[in-house]
Amino acid sequence: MTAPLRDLRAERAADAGMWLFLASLVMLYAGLFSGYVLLRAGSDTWTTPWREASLWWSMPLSHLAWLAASAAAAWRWRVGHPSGSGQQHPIFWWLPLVAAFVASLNWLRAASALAGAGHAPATSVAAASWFVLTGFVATGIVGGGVAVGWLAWRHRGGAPPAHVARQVQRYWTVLAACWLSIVVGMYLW
Amino acid sequence: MRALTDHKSLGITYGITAGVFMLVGFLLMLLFRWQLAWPGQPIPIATAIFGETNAPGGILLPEFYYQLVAMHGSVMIFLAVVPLLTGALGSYLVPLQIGAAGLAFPRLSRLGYLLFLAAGLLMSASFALPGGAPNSGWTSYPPLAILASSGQTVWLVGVLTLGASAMLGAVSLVATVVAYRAPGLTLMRLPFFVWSQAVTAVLLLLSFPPLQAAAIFQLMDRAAGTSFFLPSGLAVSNVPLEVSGGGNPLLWQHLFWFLAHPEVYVLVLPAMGIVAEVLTAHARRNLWRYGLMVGAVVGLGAWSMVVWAHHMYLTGMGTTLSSFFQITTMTVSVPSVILITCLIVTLWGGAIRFTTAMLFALAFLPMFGIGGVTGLPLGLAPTNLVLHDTYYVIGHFHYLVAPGTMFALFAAVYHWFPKMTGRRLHEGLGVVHFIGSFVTMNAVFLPMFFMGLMGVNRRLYDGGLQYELAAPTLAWNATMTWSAVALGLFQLVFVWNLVRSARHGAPAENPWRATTLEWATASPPPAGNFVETPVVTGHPYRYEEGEA
Repeated sequence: MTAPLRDLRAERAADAGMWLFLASLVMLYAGLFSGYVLLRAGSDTWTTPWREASLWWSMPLSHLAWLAASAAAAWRWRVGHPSGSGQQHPIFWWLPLVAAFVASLNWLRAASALAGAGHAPATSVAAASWFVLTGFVATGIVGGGVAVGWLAWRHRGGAPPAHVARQVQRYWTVLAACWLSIVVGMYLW
Repeated sequence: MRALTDHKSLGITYGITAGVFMLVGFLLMLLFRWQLAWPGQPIPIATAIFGETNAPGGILLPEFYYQLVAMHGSVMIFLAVVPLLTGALGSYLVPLQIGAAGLAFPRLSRLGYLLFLAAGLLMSASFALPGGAPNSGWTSYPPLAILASSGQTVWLVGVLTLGASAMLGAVSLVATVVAYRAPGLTLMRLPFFVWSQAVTAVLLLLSFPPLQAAAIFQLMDRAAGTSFFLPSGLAVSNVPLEVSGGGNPLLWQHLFWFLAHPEVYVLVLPAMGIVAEVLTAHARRNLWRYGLMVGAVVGLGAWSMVVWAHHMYLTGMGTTLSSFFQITTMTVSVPSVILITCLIVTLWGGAIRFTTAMLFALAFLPMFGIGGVTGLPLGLAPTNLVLHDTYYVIGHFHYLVAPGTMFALFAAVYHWFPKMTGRRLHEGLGVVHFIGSFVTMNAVFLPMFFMGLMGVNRRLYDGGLQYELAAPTLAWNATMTWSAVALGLFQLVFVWNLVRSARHGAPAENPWRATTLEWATASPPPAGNFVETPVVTGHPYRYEEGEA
């Protein structure tokens, strides 16, 4: 009787820990974005060169796809396994990761186009904001990717436990939601 | 290294490391206090230690003086007091007080400690860099900080690392409280100390990231040539800076104080938790209005996140914003007063035992009271305009943190030393330590209020020698410095007591007959803490049920 109780406690701790970590992550992005808002609102000469690049809409679109993939994975897990036990199809592990990878590639394309057009970070606060805010997601993606890769290696030959999958999906969903908020804010304002 | 996954070893290691950093911070203070007391007078062997570039002929140069001041603040807050309260006491006591075998994520907690250690060593090592340690104050206001020497870059990396460390420790601690409480230990049966630690951890989790965001911006300004904090048209020594400009220095202040004001409560809330535990055990009285206290500590934590701009009245924020922050600042004192009132009323009718722990806990109340009351004029814009940047602010802040929080820390050590070692600290030496600390701390910090009210600026390298208004206060600087030296000597009594009692102190299992869970196991606790998982059937404080 002891082992299941222990597992439930560990799962509850992991749930709490992940939510706390995500709250901290949201505050980090909120800090970065509030800096952008304050600088943007206080400037009379603000420019948005990232909106002048070709295919500029592909940035928010690819992030929207990322958010959708993460949300679909999280939703699928909830619908499929409301009791918290059991496994899910591996595609719902990899879908958010693939979507995040595509979004990152899109960022690399946009960043090189922006720098190539003479808008390097040191040229203006606006360009610096774009590079810092959008570039910082790379840390989150790399961190999440490493975690997923490590989990996949650790559970090679079998699917990871459902509660682990739940944490991973939460991470990608919140990261994608934060990121989409920032991208939409920067591209529409 | 594996031992650090045990929360008791981790707590003690945190305590020793933070204690060493506190010694470093104290010595930095003694150095710059020498300069304030005897401006221009050589310090013996200073040149041999700090070199000709910092102290030619034994006299501290202004540049070096400001490095000492900036690092004193940084070390004391980030590397000493906060880690002592959360890393040391939180890691050691919280699992014991909730009947758990350990922390929820021991390896994360260990990583948090290692990051803290790395950040501390990195920041301390910045003295060896060309240009020395950061010299822009612990607040690191731009644009000065961006133009400062390379030590500032190290400081920023240190702050980023400390943020990650705080996050890991806080996640582990709160998850432990959420998931590993003993059967029957409902939230409203938690010891008040656990509540204070949990609220503090959440505060750290939510308020540190904006400072990390600010540190990223400032690092970019220093390393990548961006201008987040550099306005257009900035010139240094009449030479225009070759930067794009367009940034805003006030952005740093907003993001910095969004952490740094809740940081004050990170320093105060665990102290309140300690004092509550000590008062209730040594007065043999249950905490008065426990539920109200829990509500107050949660409210205080939450409300502390909407008062940050009262540090910025001088920036010309306008009357609307200023009024908002004046109102929030005045109202944040309400839960503080509730907590202090509950603690005082707890003493009513108690069988008070004046142990050393109790003396320190009792002294905390008026010291914190002085710190709190003197903060009210700073929370109102009209008086803040006069008092800002004077010694009054230094006095106010130090009354909260030095005689306030430090006294709570001393109370914690005297109270829980038997739990950690199975032996009591010597009470006679403890009383000497208490009296010496009480007198000397007040002698150091009380004159600062009067200096501030007389208009003496707090950033003067010569202690105010060149200002007529400061003339009556110059002699006080020497008294304050001698008091600081005496304060240090009294801490030697404390250290001797720790070392002596750890080996030869009177054996003690539960000398205070305290009723919280940590005392339900052996002292020191065995591996796994409890032989059998404790089952909680009632309130943590049962001092009025006949046990006393």
